Amino acid sequence: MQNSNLLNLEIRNIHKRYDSQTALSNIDLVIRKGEFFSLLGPSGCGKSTLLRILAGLESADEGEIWWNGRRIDQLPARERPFNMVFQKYALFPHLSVFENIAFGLRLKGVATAEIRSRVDEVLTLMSLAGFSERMPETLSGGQQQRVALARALANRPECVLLDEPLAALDQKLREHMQTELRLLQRRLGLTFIFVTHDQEEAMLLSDRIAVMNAGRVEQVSTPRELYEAPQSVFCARFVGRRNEILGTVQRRDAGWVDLSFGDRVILRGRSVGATPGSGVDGKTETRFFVRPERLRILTANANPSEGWNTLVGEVVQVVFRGTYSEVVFAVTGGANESTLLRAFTDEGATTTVGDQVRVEFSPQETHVFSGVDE
Amino acid sequence: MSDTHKSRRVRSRIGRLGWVPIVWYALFLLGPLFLVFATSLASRGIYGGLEWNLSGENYLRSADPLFSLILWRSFLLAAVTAAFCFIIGFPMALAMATASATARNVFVFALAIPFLTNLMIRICAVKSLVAYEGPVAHFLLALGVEFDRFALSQNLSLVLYGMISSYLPFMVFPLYSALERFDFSLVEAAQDLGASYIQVMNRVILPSLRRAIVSGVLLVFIPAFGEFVIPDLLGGAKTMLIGNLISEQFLKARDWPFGSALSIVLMLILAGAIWWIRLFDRPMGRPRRPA
Amino acid sequence: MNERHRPRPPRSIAVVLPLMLIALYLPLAVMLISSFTDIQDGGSYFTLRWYHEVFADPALWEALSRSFLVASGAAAMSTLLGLLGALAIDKWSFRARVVLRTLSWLSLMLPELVLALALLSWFALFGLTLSLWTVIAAHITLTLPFVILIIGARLKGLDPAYDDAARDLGAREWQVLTRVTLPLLAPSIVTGFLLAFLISFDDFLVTFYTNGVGSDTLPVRLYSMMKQGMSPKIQALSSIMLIVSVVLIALLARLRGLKSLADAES
Repeated sequence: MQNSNLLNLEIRNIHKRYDSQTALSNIDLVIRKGEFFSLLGPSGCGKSTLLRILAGLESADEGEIWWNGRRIDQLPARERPFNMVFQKYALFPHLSVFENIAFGLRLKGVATAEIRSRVDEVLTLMSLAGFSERMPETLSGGQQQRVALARALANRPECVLLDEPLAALDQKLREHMQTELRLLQRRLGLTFIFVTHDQEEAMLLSDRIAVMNAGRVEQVSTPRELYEAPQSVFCARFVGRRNEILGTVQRRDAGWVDLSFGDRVILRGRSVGATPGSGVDGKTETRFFVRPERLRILTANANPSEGWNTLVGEVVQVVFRGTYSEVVFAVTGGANESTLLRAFTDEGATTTVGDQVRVEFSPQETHVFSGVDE
Repeated sequence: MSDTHKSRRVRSRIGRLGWVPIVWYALFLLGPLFLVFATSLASRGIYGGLEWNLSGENYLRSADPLFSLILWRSFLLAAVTAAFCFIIGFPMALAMATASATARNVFVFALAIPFLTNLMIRICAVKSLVAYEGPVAHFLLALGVEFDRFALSQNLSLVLYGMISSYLPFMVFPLYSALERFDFSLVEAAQDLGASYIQVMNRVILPSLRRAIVSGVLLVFIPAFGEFVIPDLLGGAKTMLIGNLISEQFLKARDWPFGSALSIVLMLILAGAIWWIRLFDRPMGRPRRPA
Repeated sequence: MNERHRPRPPRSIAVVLPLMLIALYLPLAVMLISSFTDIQDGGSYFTLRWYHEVFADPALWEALSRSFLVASGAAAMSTLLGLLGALAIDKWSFRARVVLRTLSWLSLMLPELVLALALLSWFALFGLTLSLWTVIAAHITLTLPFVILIIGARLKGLDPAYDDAARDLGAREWQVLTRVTLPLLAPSIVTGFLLAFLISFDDFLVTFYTNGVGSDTLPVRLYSMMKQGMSPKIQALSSIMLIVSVVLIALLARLRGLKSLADAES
């Protein structure tokens, strides 16, 4: 743990059990001050639980939480310098927008005049000036969300915890709020810890992401690193869309793996972040992962590039997605009867269902991830 | 200060306030009930006091066929009331639940009024109807029908009417509440498949109402079993029901031990009835007879 | 739930509703009409005479004020106890939770007669003279489970996130209670109070056995009057009580208490 920069949040060895279920195990994270840090994972992975433990709304069975060199996990929620934005906003329905935002301030005994100015300040910040006397039920989803954020910010927390705050918004609004949120965070310089199951959202907003699965942290890295170099199968599947090709391992050496697929085809891929695995050559199965945009579609009789992997298949679906098209095609062979692969292409218009196509992809872009020998 | 297992419930010292209602219940429910039990084991003293000679003789007395008859009569009344309440109440609830949204509110309100008005008012109303100088009397006179005025104003059908109209809302409200939440597209689907409405009722609607029916039956049967005010005022106090009997022990005969024993017996019978009725509450329990 | 048209039952079934409503209301209507009617010299005509008699009868006024007193006192106490009970059962981590819930259920299932006689014995045991206080105590016991039911139902529907938000913003547990939970419970508390008031005001059985000599509440008075025979004066009195009940029920309905009542029944 770095002591040079004490202004950070250290989560050490957190464990949490509900009855016999393990919700969190061995959580170790360091979050830096001013970071936009996301906890990403599917539902039930424990990300919300972890956030609630940070907030002090639940306590961990084991582990410690340190903030700025001070141990805080024994403190109740109200004594922690954090504030939370809840998934369904949890705006007090019996209080006006003003009173909602002022709630925490009143509890602290802040003087009325100052309450007024702080609330106005934060209302302006969230573009909600003039809304102070409104009641929460009269507000739209987006407005409620901003009030929830304002309520948290009014208390001048050192860190803001956000529990899937954009989940209830529709697409357009969500995108708008994502941008606003990011700008706000940058502007205020506060640490944001953001929980989401939407990987695109996490990639868009975060400085760093912690991918969580079944109570464990699988990987912590920047969005780019996560996308290009996932360290586990789970991360590879969860972030970004990838094709999976299941085949039998023929050979491994020096970071490269040869996979046989179908009767004759040999594919080569790069081992990422793994020690050359054990497992018997010729018997073990493993998966190759390739991103759709790395598949190049050739005409059926064209020659593939030197040293590149190549497969043939039949197009089953072409999906027009505006700026590009997605071509889904089936290849036979390998462990499954037929594997569906996707390629992105600009030339979708020329490919139709039923065509025989050949795709090629570079071994550099074909990955095998650690812990894959299933 | 730090709690290790903070579940959803609030764990704070404030929870201790929960003892207050418990203390109340201990003082004003458990205590009295226990006293009743204890008293039932005593016997009536010579001068009307209590003699504590712990015996079960009062219970033996209650097994007397005379009292069994009274118990049986009360049971019958309660059962018949419950049955009628269901037969009348279910169509009512169904009609209410399928009415338009505004009509529904009107009906609930209309039903709530008799429900929440004083029993005495309702009895007074019934008696007004059949009073010596009442409209029914006049009506029958006008028709030239011969009748006994006395019998008109106090008879069994009146008692039944009084019971049913008193307890009907207890059956209708749970049924209505459940029907309100019922997914009527199931009915449409069944009708689409060719079922008549009666068949739909029996096979689709009623089975899903099992819980509500159990609630309704319990809410009617239990109080009806001990009911004696309505029979007393509308039935002319001729028929002895378990409620009258117990009451008499306390007020007239001053035989508190016997009255207590009867009360315990009543409670046991009711407990048995509740248990039996609740058997029907199991979701996929008993095999149904073909409708 | 589904606001679209629901398939209606056939006439033969649906007709029960209006028929029964008529059957329920006919006596009430007759009673109302009779209360305004005087029959003299073979003819009947409109009169307010009976109402005058009612209003002029001091015994009735006393009974009314007693009913009111008892109902207010019992409802207030019952609401307070019921609030604590509901919170203990549905919100707090209270060890004797199951006990409380069972007791509440028990008092609901108990025949009112048995409760009345049990209390009678109990009060006799302690040598307490029967008075309005004993009646109030009995009424509290009677109405408590209803209050718990109503407030409890609302409590179950409250989002726990509100409490979390309050704690996160700096509230201590008692502050969460006073600033968030209680305000949100307020409508159901009022509904509970009104229901308890109504039950207490209308109660006959328990009151009959636990009140002292000469301190009748209105329903008990009415009972004794009716035992002696029907008269238009009784009808007038009943009519007045009916109107008051209707007003109170309308109040309840405005607070949407009726829906929760119907739900709470099940």
